[in-house]
Amino acid sequence: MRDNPKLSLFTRVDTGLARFACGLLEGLKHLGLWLLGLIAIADYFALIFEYGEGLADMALHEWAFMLLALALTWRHCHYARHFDYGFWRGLGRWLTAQGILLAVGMIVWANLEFTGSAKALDSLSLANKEEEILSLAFALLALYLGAPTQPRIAEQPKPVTENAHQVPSTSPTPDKAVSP
Amino acid sequence: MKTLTPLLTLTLLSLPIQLSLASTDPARLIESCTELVNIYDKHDQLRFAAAQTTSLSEAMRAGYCRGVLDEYQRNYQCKTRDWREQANTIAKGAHEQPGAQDVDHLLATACGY
Repeated sequence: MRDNPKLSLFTRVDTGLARFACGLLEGLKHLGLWLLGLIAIADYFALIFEYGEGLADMALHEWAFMLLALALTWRHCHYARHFDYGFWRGLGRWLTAQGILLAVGMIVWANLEFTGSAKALDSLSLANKEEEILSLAFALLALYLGAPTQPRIAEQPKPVTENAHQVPSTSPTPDKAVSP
Repeated sequence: MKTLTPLLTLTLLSLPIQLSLASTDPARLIESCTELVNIYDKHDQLRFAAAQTTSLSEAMRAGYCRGVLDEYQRNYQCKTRDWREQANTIAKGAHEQPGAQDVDHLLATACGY
């Protein structure tokens, strides 16, 4: 596109600027999601080790969460290696999944606060436990859905040339023409 | 023996002081009562799967709140004898009016004064 002689200087500068802005926003989006992912991971640790008393802070369901999270992380690494994602892209995808979860959670929470439904939920005596279990369950779901399931760069189908000659079969039976 | 006497006297004198300096941190009482409310639906009914979702730290804190409330009821005539309701009052009241609260005020409010 840049080498196209028909484009004027103004158009080339304009498209270049637009491409630069899009790239910058794309980078900021990834950076924001990674940061949100890191905050989410820190939140989970704060939720589990709330009093800073080590293993005494861990209930049975939190042990289960940790084990499942480890298993799902191993699955993520296994698939990332299998589909040639590399370390940083695999880690980025892992963090992005948690970041998206936190972003969606924040949007839902802000909506509830804005519409005043959060107070209604509080009055229903929803204890912290239910919220905690829900958060941990969604974290596991994000870990499950965030794992790569197909190659990062899809394999391009080989172009079929029109004048490609047919290779005769090597089977002992001769090739037959299909009669109409 | 002469050198031991002042040490022994000081130790004996410090004992009642230690006892009277039991924890009076309102934040500790509030978080403990919040844990107690999280464990029990009613005073005689545990929350669903409470045993699986409660850690040792939380159970210890809930026990602390229950002990403080029981002891307060032993010394004062409260409007309600239900410690679950009192714990809920402390947890909710602290949530609605954070800061500027001491343990006596919290317990008196929970007691209905």
